[in-house]
Amino acid sequence: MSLVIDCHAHLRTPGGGDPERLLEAADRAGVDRLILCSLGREWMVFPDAATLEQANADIVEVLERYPDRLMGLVYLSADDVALGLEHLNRYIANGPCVGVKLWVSQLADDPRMDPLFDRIVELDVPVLQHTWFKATGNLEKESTAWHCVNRAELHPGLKMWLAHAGGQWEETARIIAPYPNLCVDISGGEPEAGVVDCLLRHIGPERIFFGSDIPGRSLIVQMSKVLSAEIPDGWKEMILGENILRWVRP
Amino acid sequence: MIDFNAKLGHFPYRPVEGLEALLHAMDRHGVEQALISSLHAVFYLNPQDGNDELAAAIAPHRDRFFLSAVLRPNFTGWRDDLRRCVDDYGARAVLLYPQYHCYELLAPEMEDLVAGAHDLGLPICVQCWLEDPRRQFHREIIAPVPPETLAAFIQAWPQATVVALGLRFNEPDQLGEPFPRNAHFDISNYENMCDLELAMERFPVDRLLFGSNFPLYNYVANVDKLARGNLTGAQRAAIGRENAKRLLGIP
Repeated sequence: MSLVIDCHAHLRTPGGGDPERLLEAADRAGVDRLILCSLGREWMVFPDAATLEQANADIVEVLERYPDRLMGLVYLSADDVALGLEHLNRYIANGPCVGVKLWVSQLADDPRMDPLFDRIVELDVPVLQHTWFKATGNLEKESTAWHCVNRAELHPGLKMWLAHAGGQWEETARIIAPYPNLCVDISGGEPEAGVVDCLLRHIGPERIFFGSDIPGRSLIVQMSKVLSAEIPDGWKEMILGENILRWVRP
Repeated sequence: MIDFNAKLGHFPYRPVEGLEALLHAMDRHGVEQALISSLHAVFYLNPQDGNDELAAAIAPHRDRFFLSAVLRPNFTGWRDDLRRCVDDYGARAVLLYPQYHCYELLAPEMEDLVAGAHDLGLPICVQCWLEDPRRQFHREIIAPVPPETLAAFIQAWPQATVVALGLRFNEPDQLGEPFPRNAHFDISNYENMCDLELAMERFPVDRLLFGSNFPLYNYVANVDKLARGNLTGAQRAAIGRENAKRLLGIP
C-alpha cells in the first residue's frame, strides 16, 4: 500500500496538544502524513505581518517535532509581498516547507501576487489555493476556479491544487480540465455521494488529491469520498497519496 | 445494523442512486434494515404522493424497510395520510421538512401532529440539514432548521420522541444542557476530527442513531464513522442497532 497523505490539514496552535490530536486522528484513519498549513491562531481574513510570521513559525515548530509525519505549507498574503518573498526563501528555499497556502486575502489572479508566483514557480513548489463557488455568496477575495485558471494562464509552470474541489466540483472539473497543472483536493464539505466519480470524468485520477480539512472535519468521513468510489484500487491509491507525492517529497 | 435515515427517489439537483444500490450497500455493510422516506415527498406539493410511491417501491422488501411518513401539517388531509401510512404501509415514524414545506416548527397547529404521532407511538423526525446551502441551486436558498428552533420544539413537547436528522458539527450541543430526555439525533452529518468519541463525552449513548442519508451521502461515510471511531462494542451496538429498535418498536 502506498503512503496515505492528507494534503489539507490545519494547525491551530503548535502547543496544547493540538498537533498530537491531529496525529491521533491520522493514526485512527490510517493516514501516514499530513500536509499542514496555519492560517494563524485566529483565522483573520486579512492577516497582518505578525499573524503571517506566527503562522509560519508555528508550522516550522511542529515540523521539527514530527518530521516523519508532517509536511508544511507557507502561508502568504498579497497584502505583504515583501514578507512573502522573505518567507519563501526562509521556509522553502532554506527551510523545511514543501509548498504554499493561499486563502481568502486575495484572489488567485491578483496582480500583486505576480512576484510571489514568479518565485514559487522558480522554486518549483505547489500552491494549495482555497476555492469555492458559494450559492450563498463568496467572500470579497475568495477565489473560484476561474481565478485559478487566470493564474495558470499567467504562470504556465505553476502547480496548484484547488481546495474543496472548488465547492461545486461539477463545474470546477470542467473549468480546469484543459490545465494539466491544476488539480483538486476533495477536502471539506459533506460526504456527498459521487464526488470522486464526477471529478474523474473530467480530469482523470491523476489530478485528484485526498484532503480532509481537519480539525474542522473528520479524516474518516472525508476519506470515504475516495473509498466509496467505484474505481480500481490503483486509482484509490493514487488519490490517497501517490498523486500529491508527484509534487511534494516527504 | 439499522439505518435510521435512508431516502429513496430522485434529487432535483444531481443524479443519485436508487433502490438497487441501497440494497447493495446495506448488504455489503451488514445493515439489515432501514427506516426509509421518500425524497420525492420533499418536493411534491402533496407529500403523500411520495409516500404512496415509496410504499409501492419497497413492498417487495418489507423485511428490510420501515416507512417514515413525510407529512405536511399545513396541507389539508395530513391526518388521513398519517393514518394511511400507518395502517396500510406500516409506517414507524413521521418525518418533517419545515424549511422545504414552508411552515413553522413552533406553530400552534403542530400540536395536532405531535399528539397524533404520540398516540400512534411514532417518533417525530425533523430533517434539520438536507443540503449544504453553499451548494444549492435554487433561486432561493433553503436554510437548515436552526438548532435553537429545534431545541424549543423539543422543549415544548416533552412527551414526543424527537429525532433530529442531519445535525452537524456542534449543533447537537445546542439542543440543551443537560441533553433533553426526549431528544435524539442521527449521525449522518455529525462530523468532527474525533468522530463519535467526542459525542460519547457529550451525549447519552442511547440518543444517537446510525443514519446514512442515502442517497445524498456515500454509504461508506457513516458506516466507517461508526466502525472506525473510538467506541466500545456496546456503544457501537447501541448507535448501530439497539436505539433504533427501541424507537421503532422492533422486537
